[in-house]
Amino acid sequence: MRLDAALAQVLAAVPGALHAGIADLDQGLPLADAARDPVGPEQSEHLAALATAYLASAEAEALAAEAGGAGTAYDEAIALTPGRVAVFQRLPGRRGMALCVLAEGHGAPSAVAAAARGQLAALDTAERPA
Amino acid sequence: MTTLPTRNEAILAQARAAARPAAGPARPLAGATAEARLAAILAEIGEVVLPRALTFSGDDGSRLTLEARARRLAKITAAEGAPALTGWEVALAGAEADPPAELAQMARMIAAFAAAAGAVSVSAAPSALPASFVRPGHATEALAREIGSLADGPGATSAAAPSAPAHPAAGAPAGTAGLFAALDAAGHAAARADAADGRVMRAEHDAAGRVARLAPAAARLARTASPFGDAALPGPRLVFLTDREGRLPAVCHAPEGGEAVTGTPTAGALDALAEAWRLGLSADRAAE
Repeated sequence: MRLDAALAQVLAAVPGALHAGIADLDQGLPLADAARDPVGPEQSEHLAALATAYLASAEAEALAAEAGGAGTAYDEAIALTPGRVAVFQRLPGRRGMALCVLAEGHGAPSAVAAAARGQLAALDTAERPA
Repeated sequence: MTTLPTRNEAILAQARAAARPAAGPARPLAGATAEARLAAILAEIGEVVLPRALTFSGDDGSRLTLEARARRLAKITAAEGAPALTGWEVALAGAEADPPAELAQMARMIAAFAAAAGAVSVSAAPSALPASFVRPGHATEALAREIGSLADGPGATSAAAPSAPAHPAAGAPAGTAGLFAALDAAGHAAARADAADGRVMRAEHDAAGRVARLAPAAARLARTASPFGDAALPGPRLVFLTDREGRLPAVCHAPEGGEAVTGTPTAGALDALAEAWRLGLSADRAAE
């Protein structure tokens, strides 16, 4: 499956999803994205930067080290606002990349996270554009 | 020929020597409750005229050493044990140039110690401060007033004391207050802290002090993420961090209005905590 198709599948699978993208956690930049209602490149960049801050920044590493010791890392961040849910998940096979999903306000953010998690395997093996 | 300053120094030295407490075991301090211990600690400070170092030791291993003189608290020189005392040196150093802020910080520390310490003993020793230390310090009456004005009284900074039913502190943003109450009610470790530096003001279910240690790191992470979050997810934010392999405790963090709540809930508590946080925010907006 191609990456754009895999991201479109994320949009379909995650309840209320507005945007799904892949972020490069080393660069803090978006690599690819799909959106139900185009959110624009800036939004995509901000989400990629946010994924990097929560999962791969020095401060994130420091928090994980405080919680569990050096060499540990959180691999999922769920950020809520009163109206929206953003989920950031490291790809299991490509630890330097993360799935970023933005969804409309949801009573059960765990359902959004679980649905996104269910797509990680497909994203891991998706064919990336040259 | 002996000069007047030299004579004064000699007289002072004599007086200090005479006032030095006899060597011996620490005295038990009266007080079965946090309030009673607090009153006893302030009374001890109020009885000190010549410079003296007082060390209060709790039966839980916590310790607070302070310098008193002229019935005033001049300086806190050591603190350990109670999770709420974590980072005290930085907090006090930051308040040193601002007497009201220093008074507030010292009051918080004494209240935290009194709340967490259990049975307390006190020992006195000659002052360890140099003669050049000339700051006036804070009167015990001012300390008592400041402690009384702390949001939830002397138990507010307790981490080791038995949990009381959570209730939002006066003036606390309702979103974070709702989250804190929900964490507490479910028995999850939780801390209310300064949003800027993560200095803990109150902790519950955190006897091991883990949340108190995590709160400053969570505050730093929130600060780093804030510019991107403001752009991508404007408005108050509640963040959950989890490790899918379960090696790390889940952490939640929500800053709001200068205050933040940090907790270590189970991953399964996400929806209930999110709901409590949102309801609090709604209540805040309705009140506005």
